[in-house]
Amino acid sequence: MILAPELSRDRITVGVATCGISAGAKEVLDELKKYSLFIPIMETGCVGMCYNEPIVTVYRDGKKTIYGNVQKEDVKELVKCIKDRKVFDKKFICEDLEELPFYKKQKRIVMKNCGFIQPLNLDQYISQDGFHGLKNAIELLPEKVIDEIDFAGLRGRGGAGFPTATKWRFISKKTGDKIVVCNGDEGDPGAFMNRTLMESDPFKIIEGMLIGAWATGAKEGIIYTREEYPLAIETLETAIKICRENRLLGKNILSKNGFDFDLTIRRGAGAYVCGEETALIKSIQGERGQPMPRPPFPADKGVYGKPTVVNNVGTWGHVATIMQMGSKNYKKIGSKFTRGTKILCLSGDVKRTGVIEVPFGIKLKEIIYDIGGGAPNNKKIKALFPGGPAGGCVVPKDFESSLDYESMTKLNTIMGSGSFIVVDETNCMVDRAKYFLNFTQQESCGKCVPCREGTKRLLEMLQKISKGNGVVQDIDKLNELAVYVSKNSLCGLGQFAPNPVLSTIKHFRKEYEEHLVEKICPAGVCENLVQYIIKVNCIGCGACKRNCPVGAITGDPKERHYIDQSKCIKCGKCYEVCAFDAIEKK
Amino acid sequence: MELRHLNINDSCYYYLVEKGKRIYVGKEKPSDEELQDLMKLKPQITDKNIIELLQDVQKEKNFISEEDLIRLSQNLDIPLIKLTGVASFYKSFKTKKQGKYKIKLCNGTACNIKHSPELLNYIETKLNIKSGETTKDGLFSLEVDNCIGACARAPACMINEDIYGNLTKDKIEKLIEDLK
Repeated sequence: MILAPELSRDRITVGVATCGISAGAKEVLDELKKYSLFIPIMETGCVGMCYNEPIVTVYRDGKKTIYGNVQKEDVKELVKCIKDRKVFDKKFICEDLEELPFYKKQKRIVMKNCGFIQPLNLDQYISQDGFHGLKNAIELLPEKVIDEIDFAGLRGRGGAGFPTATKWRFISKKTGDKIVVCNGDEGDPGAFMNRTLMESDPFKIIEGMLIGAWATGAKEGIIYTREEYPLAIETLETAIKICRENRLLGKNILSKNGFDFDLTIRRGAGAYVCGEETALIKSIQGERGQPMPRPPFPADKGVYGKPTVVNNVGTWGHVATIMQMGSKNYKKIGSKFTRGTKILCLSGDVKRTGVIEVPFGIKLKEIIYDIGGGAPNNKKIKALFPGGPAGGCVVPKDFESSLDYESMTKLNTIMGSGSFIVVDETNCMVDRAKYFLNFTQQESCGKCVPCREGTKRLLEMLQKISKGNGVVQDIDKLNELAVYVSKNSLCGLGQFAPNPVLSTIKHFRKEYEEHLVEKICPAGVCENLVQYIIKVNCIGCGACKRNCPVGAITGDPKERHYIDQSKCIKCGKCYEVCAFDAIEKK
Repeated sequence: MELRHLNINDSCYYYLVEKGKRIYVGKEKPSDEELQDLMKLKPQITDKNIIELLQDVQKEKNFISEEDLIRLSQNLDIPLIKLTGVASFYKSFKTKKQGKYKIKLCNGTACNIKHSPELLNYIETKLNIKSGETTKDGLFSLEVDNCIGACARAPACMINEDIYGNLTKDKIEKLIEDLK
């Protein structure tokens, strides 16, 4: 591997993907550029360490120094340190990412360029084995390329885990115009790995799609992405332009006669259900994005009735990686069930949040505690919600389980897009289920009745429970309806929507019962069920009594006060004004 | 095949006409070369441009009114029911005028866990509008998004196309004051 000249020289990089920008990386970059440093300053993508953004890396004399949480105000001192060849201790993180616990258990193969190269620098991409995968592919016959992908054991990274090679074989046998589609409609709350990849290494996705086009014989490619990702769209557009200029897109690619392929980008318009492949095809055609029953499968009748392959952004990234490193090497990574790596987004109540790439077979506890660092403020972790709003929950006793499609199915959950959201003990599980149902109910496209009406009724029942108006029988009713909705809905959205209800009832039945029988919310989240109680350490200052809008608090000065629960409207005013921490919320 | 244009609110939309079929081209006049390529398009591709067309109209005007839809339908020969169907299905098409600064507060799972509903309350009180509304001076409009994909910096919001993370009430206050 020969490094592009820039990558072996001294330089300073600032991560300016969306996570970085949201933390102020643009300002840091502008500030840095004001100083004449005699070292080139470059913009890179995201290294995945979102909790430390904005990140500045100084490459000097073959050594790296990585700084995190760098704010505009720190730049002056940082520049002075760089000039004096000193380390800026205040914001210093490490010299090598590998030393950090966040990276130790990761295996970054698809994301290895992210945050290292400049996303839109073709030379730098090529110096990192870029487009070598495509070169390797076109030296083989298309069927052989599919065999390679099959041998590597690649399964779709969008959620369902369907073997990619099988999908490709269906379409490679067809004649006539064919289309490959990249699904970048990443709507799952908690998932942003596709965006990170599109922003930080766009050429990898294009390379993956080119390999797919060679293998299947498609001449047209479409990247469908969300309009919420303006930076990703801009980056991809420029990357496509650069590829066209360098004859990596267009006619006779890499001087291979008859290998023609071109790409267009489609912006979604804010509909979660369009992540489902049949809905996505509808949306590409300019129609309402409502899913269609399968068969016909997209491989038979896809975009404009042409045979179509739809793969997730991550899958295309893996395709390029497999052809670059060889399927034999790729196969060595992962568990015996599922090969390779998975990009996950870790967020919620963990110390270290970000985008991680881990080998299949890693234990869930390693992801949460070793990489994520556990819950902040010494709280206990209550559950993990993998796979977005449809995944359901995994409780700590199952954290010994390993990450692969089979084990996740055993836990009654799904891999999904790979969003991993951790919640701590301060969360109420009824409230969580209610939140997810609220989401799926809003995003249901309304085509089939079980999903449209079912999710609405489920949500209403959960609202009733969280208001304290439910009865114990509601749990069984919820269960029954949830099973019905999941069995009878048309697409994945409805089929998996009841998962949060089913799994929270399974693991946290006691909590539901407490809401229904004792009318309390143990976590103190459900407003109507919260009780405010004045503890013995009340000194009788009278602040709560003065501030209570309904006069529910009684007590003599310098004596412990009491709240009349029948009068209390749970506004929380007393809790806010108490200066002695004498009011308990439960 | 003939290139025509349509004016809506000072903006120009180009489309091709052939045998009664109309194909939306875009807001910029295509070059001769591009026109050649477009001529090769098959008529079935007409529909694919509906979303792009509406996105262009919305980008220009901030919203799409019922009159716009009727005019587009009449001039581009697309059934009104099809245009309205698409415009009402996708959340990003607005039927009411939006503010100069569109605040999109994220309520994805991670943001929700980090108390974004409290921030929503705060913004609603501060701007004196509810989610989905626009302030009287036409400066801000507020909406809640189901996930803007900045989960690791939760809670987050988008103001027009810029993303701000790790929000607190103070940060939001400053953001809004700076824009006023």
